[in-house]
Amino acid sequence: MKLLEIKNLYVTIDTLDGPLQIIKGVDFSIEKGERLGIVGESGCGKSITSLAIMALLPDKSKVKGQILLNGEEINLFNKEQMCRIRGDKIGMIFQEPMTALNPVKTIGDQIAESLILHRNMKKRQIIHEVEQLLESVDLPVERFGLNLYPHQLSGGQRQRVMIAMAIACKPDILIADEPTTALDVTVQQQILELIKELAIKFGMSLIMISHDLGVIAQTTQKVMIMYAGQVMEQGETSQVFKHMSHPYTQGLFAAIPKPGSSRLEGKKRLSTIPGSVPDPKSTVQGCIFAPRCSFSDDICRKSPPEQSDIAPGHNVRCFHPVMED
Amino acid sequence: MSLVKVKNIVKDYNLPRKNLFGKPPVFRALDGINLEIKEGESFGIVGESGCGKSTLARIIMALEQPTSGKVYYNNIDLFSASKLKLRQLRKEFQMVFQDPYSSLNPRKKILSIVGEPLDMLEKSISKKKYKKRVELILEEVGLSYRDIDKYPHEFSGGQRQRIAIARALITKPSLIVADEAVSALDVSVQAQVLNLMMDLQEKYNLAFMFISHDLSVVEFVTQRLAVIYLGKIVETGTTSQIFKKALHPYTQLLFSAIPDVDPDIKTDFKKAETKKIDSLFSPTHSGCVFIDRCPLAADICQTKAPVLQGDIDHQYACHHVDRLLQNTN
Repeated sequence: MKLLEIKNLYVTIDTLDGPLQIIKGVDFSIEKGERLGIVGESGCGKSITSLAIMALLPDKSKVKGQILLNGEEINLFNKEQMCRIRGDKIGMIFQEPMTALNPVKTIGDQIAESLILHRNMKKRQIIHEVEQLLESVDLPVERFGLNLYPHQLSGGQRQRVMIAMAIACKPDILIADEPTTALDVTVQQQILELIKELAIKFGMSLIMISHDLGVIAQTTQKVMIMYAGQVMEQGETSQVFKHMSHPYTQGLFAAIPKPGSSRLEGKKRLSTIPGSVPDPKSTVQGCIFAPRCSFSDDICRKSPPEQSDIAPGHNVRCFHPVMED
Repeated sequence: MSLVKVKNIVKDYNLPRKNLFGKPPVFRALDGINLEIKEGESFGIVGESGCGKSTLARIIMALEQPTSGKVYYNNIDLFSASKLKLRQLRKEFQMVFQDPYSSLNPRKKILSIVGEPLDMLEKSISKKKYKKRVELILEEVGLSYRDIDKYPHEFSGGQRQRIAIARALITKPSLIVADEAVSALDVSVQAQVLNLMMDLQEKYNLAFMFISHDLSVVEFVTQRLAVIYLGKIVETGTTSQIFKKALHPYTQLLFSAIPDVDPDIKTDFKKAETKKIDSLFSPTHSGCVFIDRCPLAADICQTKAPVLQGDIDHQYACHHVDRLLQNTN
């Protein structure tokens, strides 16, 4: 049995301008100990997907489809049942360590919170456990006491505290939503290593959400590329990154400045994807990427493509997947 | 010809005093920075947060006084110029900030956001001309002249950054300081904005000071760069030279930290945690600033601060240059 399985997920959020469909049929699954990456630009629905799993969506949203954790349909759980899942079975690391921590509570209190909620432990045990957790995220207790406040820590250290909070109950799944965007490269590297190490050490599955393709390449085994609420390409990370077939994936890769591509040496401009992300209000009849795609033709504008396999464990939602020469 | 010359800039900040009668401890944010930006050149500043990048930008923009040292703008000393003169000079250098969501006033229309520098710097301009200027500059950055009556929330992140660029361009500056101007954008939008900046640079012979922590962006955009660590330039030179052969251990550390997009190439990152850096910020500190993260640290690094050496295309501040040169050859 799969640890987590998402089947045909649709998320609609009611706004003043009427309902907006943010997620349009997302399917994926994750096995125990597996590391999955979700890539996409802002507004593509990658964070909403993770919030749907955690049942943390805004009140006015509707979820269709199934979210199965160990075979249990957690999207049908009530608030109380969900509280038992959050933090215990699924842990989450949020994007901005500056705002995700409570500024008026000590880091010790914040890390202990989920232990107090989910584990029937004595005070002394909890303190011991929190100290262990700080130790495991490389914040030695001698220097980083439990009674420190978030403002006394640097960005990287706060993100470490966030990680300690997320893994406090050794969840089955750890969701990391852009865990390093606000950090320096050197700190980013340390945090990524740490997350990956901990996931392996505790046998946790990892869902890594990022717009940075390098981050995904270095931390995950499977990857899915999302665009406007749909999965465009999905498969093993090494396979997808080497044989990317969706025009959108290719466009994304081409837009990053490559090492060694100085402007002085020939290359004058970065290649871009023309146009911009579609307005979620608009409805597209055919392929959602067609208006920006250089390969699009009549069939793309008429009916939406389905996800289809182009290699074992590698599927693409495109009528004209780009194959190798 | 050099447009901006930064000479020996030192910036100290006073920290809260530890006891009532003692002198407040001093935090040295910049320690003897020298650099030169030529006309039409893009110059990169690379370093981790807290290294002094933004302080340097603020000083070059004359938003802050340095403790000592001088900034020359076309050979005019910014900090001894009269108020009036300085105000006139401000037309020449403008800034694009990091976060396009917080750098635009949500209650103002695009017309007054983009035109604001004109309110300050060209007060005599007629209303009609003012509007025309804003419309033209919006077209220039890839927006429509019809956008002048919209509010910032009607635009996406990339478009907002275009508005910020339009605001910087409207006084026809010769230098734009871009402080992490594309870090908040998605890759495909980032590429569009970078292309725009480079097109404008060529068209108007603009000089850019490009502050970023994204090394691949810096490599793509800039001609020369300086790597700053704790307020000191540790390596500087032409971008191609430095990217080909980084000599300072800190630059090497930075390069090794970029996650590679090829999943088969494992990032070979040397774990190097800062231990106790408070003392390194003190002006009385003698020795190399990078000492406690440096794999090559030796006795001489404790006592003597390395100075920049090498030729004009590539300078580095390290005592172990010979060893570094041998390793890379």
